Amino acid sequence: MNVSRKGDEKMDKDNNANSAWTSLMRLMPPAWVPALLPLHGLELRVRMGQPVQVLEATREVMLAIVATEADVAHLVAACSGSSLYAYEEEMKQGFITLPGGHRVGFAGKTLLDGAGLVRGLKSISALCLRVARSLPGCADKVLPEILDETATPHHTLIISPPQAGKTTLLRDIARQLSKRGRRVCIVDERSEIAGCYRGRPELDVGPRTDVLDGCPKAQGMLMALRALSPEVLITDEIGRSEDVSAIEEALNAGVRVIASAHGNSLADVAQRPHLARLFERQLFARIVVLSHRKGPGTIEYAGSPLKLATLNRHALHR
Amino acid sequence: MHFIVDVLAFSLIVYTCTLAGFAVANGYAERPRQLRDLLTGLEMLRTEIVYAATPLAAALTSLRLRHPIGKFFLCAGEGIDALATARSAWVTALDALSRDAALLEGDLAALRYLGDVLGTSNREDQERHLLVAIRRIEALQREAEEEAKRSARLWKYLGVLSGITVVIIIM
Repeated sequence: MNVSRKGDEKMDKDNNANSAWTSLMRLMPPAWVPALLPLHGLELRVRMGQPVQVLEATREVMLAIVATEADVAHLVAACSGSSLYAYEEEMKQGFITLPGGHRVGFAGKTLLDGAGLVRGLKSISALCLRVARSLPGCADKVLPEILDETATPHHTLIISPPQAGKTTLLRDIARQLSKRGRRVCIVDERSEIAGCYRGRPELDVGPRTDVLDGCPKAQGMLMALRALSPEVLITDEIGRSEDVSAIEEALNAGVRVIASAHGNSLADVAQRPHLARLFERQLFARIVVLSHRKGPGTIEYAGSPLKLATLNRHALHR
Repeated sequence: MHFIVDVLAFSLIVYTCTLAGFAVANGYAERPRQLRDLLTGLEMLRTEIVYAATPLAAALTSLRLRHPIGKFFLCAGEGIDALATARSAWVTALDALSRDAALLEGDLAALRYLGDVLGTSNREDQERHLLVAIRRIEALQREAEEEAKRSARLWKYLGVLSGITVVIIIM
């Protein structure tokens, strides 16, 4: 019984991921659709004059199609609703978010303003489309490890190399905490966690969740504290000094913080200049480490940082 | 009695010919009118894009103009809404316009180029492209206006005079 339910759940997840991929076909140059449709793409990379690359969960597929200038122009027009000028703020960051929370990043010739800041892109020659997957339930295993006896989350840091599912995990943690009655606020600088389109979350982040979309993390965390009185504050990819100060501020305000950082291990992250400060003060009571070992989202460790340090020492001695 | 019928018949002929002349003359006013509508539309589009950054589909469908120019913008906007790219939606709408409108090939060419650039760059750049099109159509519109005035006057005279000629010949 149990086994069959798990099977169903897995099928649901597959369908979910694949229906997102299928829905993106309407944006593709019509000639590509027959080749793309049978794949289970998680990421599509298009570079002018190069074969089209699709990343699936476990393999990379190079299609026999070479992207032409017209194909790239078609994709840019389709992704922006033929209104690139309406996305000037987003283009400064280099990406736009599509309905459904999918993200398209662009590469090309950058335009600078007088102060040497990027003002936008022109002559777009490559784009990278990342399919937003919500995997409801992917935090099931992690959640018990990060909750205390009152079902409030500890301050938690999720450490993960790129594309190992930290954003997906954060999203499901937000959804589940929110469903359990916690007021959650997501500071979503890169519109990845909630996948907001015109300010509204396109991905399920729960009924008690507020999202500050496109907001710089440090400012957003302080804004959230002032204006939204969250119990849990969630943000992605911390690392700069002002992020760390904002987290300290949140801790003082009695808000629990769940954040993620790029890295392969605790040691990796603890060495980074600003984050080191957080570890010295032992602000994070729980650490989750993700990896690619068994596909994206492999949970290597979830628990207290002290135990992890002992584990690592053992591993070294061996 | 006979004389009165003659007068009535002759005046009817002159009247009809004059009317025909005016009808043809009015036809010449159609092109400058449509060009004027087109200018209004492009100016409104410029405002929407440059000052409000309204997405193209919404900007195009919000323009309310007289037929056939109104239909042209609506058709282009709906095409983009239905996920055609601006380029292909623009071409489809232009094809329909060339059938409906009194515009000449040169007028359409000034628009055709816009399809390749609409929505593909930042606001500053979009404004530049729109202004180029607006300048070209302004020039065409002035020219059309003058030509229409000349031709309209010609046809009006021609109508009256041909009526009188017919009457003279019959008499």
